[in-house]
Amino acid sequence: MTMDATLAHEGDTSFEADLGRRRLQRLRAHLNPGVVFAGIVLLVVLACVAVPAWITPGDPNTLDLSARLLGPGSPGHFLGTDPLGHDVGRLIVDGTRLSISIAIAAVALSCAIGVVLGLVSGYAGGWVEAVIMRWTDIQLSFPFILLAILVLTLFGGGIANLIIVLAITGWMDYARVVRSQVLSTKERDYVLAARAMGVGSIGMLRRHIFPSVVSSIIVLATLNTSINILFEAALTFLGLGISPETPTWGGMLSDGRVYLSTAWWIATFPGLAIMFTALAINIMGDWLRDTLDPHLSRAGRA
Amino acid sequence: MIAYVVRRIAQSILVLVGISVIVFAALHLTTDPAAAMLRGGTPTKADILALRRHLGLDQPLPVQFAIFIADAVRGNFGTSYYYNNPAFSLVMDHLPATLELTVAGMAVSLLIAFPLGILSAVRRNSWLDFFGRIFALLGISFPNFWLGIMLILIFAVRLNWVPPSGYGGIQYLILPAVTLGMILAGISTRLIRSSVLDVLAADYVRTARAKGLPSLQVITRHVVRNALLPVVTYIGLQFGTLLGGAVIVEQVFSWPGVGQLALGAVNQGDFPLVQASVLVLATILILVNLLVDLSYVFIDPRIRY
Repeated sequence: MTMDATLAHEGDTSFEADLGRRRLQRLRAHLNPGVVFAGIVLLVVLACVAVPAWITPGDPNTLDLSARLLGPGSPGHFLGTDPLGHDVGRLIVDGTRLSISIAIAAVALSCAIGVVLGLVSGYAGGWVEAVIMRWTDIQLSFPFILLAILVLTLFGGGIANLIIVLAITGWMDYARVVRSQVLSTKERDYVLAARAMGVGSIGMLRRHIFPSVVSSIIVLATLNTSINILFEAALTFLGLGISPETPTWGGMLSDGRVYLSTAWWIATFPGLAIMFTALAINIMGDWLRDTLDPHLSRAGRA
Repeated sequence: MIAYVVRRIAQSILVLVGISVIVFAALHLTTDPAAAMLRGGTPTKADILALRRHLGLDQPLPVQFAIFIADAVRGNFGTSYYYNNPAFSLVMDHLPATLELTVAGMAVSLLIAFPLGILSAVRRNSWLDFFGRIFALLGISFPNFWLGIMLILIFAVRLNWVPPSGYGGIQYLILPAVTLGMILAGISTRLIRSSVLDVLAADYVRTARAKGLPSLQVITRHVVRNALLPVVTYIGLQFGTLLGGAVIVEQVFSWPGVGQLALGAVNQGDFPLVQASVLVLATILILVNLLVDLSYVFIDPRIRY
C-alpha cells in the first residue's frame, strides 16, 4: 500500500492524519495470533477483577458440604470442588482480584521507588550516585526468597507487607533505566540550551527526560507485573504470604497439594490460571517492547 | 588487574557486612530474642530481664553487633530455639542437600538451554526456532512450584516412575532438579539464542564460511566459544535465582535442604536458625558472584580493568 494509494483512498491529506494512519498501519502490522490471544486472556482476567459477580453469580460463602471433592465436569461445578464444597472455578475467580491487585500495587510502588532513585542518582552524581548504584547491585544479586523470608518472618504476613516485599525486590530495573536516560540526556545540547534559557529542573524532567523513559518503563512494568504474580503465589504457597481465609491462587495451590492423589483438580486449575495470566502479560510485554522501543533489549528479539 | 581483584574482594566483604547489618538490625529491632526464647513457658518480667542480661542483650546495640560479627565469623550463630542445637551446625548439615539440588538444577537447565538456544539461532525462524521461543516464553510464565506439583502428579502419582518426595538416590533427585532447572532454562534459552545470533552476524564468521569451512565446524569452533562469554557470566550470576528457586522446590518435594530448614524455622519463630540460614546462603551467593566476576577477567583477555 503506497502512500499515494492511501492518500487517494482517504482524501484527508493533512500531515497529522497521515501520521495517524501510518501509526495505525504499523500497529496492525505487529498484531499476531499470540498478542490477540494474550489480549483476550487479559480481558477475562480484568473482568474477574472488576465484576466477579457477573462471572460467578451467587453467594460465595455458601458451604455445601455434600458437594465436597467433586471432580471436574460434575454438574454445576465445571472445575470441581474443594474439600469444603466450594466451586473451584469460583475460588479462582475470587482469588483473581487479590492476586492481581497485589501484583499491580507492588509494581506501582517499585516503579515509584525506582524512578525516584534513578533520577536522584542520575542528577546528583558523586557519592550519592555511587551509593545508590552499589545498593542496586547488592539487591540484584540477592535472592528474592531470602529477603522475603527475612522480612515476612519479622514483620509478619499480611497484604501490606507482601506488597512492600515485592516492591523492594523490583525497583532496581526502573532505577537503572531512568538513571541511564538521565545520564545520556543531561549533557545533550538541547538540554544545555534549555537550561541557559532558564528552564528549571522540573521542566527539564517533564519535557526531556520523561518521554524517552516512558516506553521503557511501560515494558518493565508489564514484565514486572507477571513476575510479581508468580512471586506472590510462591510466597503464599510457602505460607509466608496472606492468611488462608482469603482465597488467592497461591493459597489454593498449597491447599491442593495435600489432595494431589485424590483430588488433583484443586491444585491444577489455579496453577493454570496463574500460568495463563503470566503468559498473557509476558506476551503483551514482549509485544509492547517490540512496538514501542526496539532499542530496549536485544535478549529474546527475533 | 590485581587492583581490580582486590577491589572486587573488598566489595564482596562490604556486601556481606551490609547483609549482616540488615539481618542483625531486623532481628533486634523488631523482636526481643529473650522473650522469644522463653515463649514456651510463662516467663515473668524478671525472668526476661535476667535472660537479657545473661545473653548480653542489655548492652548497647553497636556492641552487640560487634559481638555478633565476632561470633559469626567463628561460626557461632547461637542455638536454635526449636532443635536445641547450634544453629550453624544445623545449617551446615543441610547444606550439601541444597548444593546438590542447585548444581543438578543448573545442569538440567544448561542441558536444555544450550542445544535449544544454539539450534534456535542457527535455524532461525524455522519450526525449531518457534518451538524454542515458545518454550522460553513459557519458562518465565510458569509458577515453578506448580510445575513441581504437576510433575509429581504425572510422574509419581499417576505413572509411578519416581517417588514423589524424599531424599536418597538419584530417583529422588530427578523431579526436583528438572523443576529447578526449568526456572533458568527459559531465560537461558533466550539469552543463548540472542547471543549466538549476534555472533553469527559477525565478520569473522563470514570469513570462516568464505574460507569454505563447513557449517558445523564454523559453529563449534568459532560461534559457540564467542557466544559463550555473556552467557557464562549471566548464568553464574543467576546462581542467586537458582538458590531462591531451590528454597521453593525443597518445600514442594520435602527435600531436606537449608531452604526447608529456613522455612520451618520461620514458621516456628526460630530466629537464630533463620539468621544462620540466611547468612550462610548469602555468603555462598556472594562467593559465587565474586568467583564469576573474577573468572571473567581470565576468560576474556580483551578486558582491561
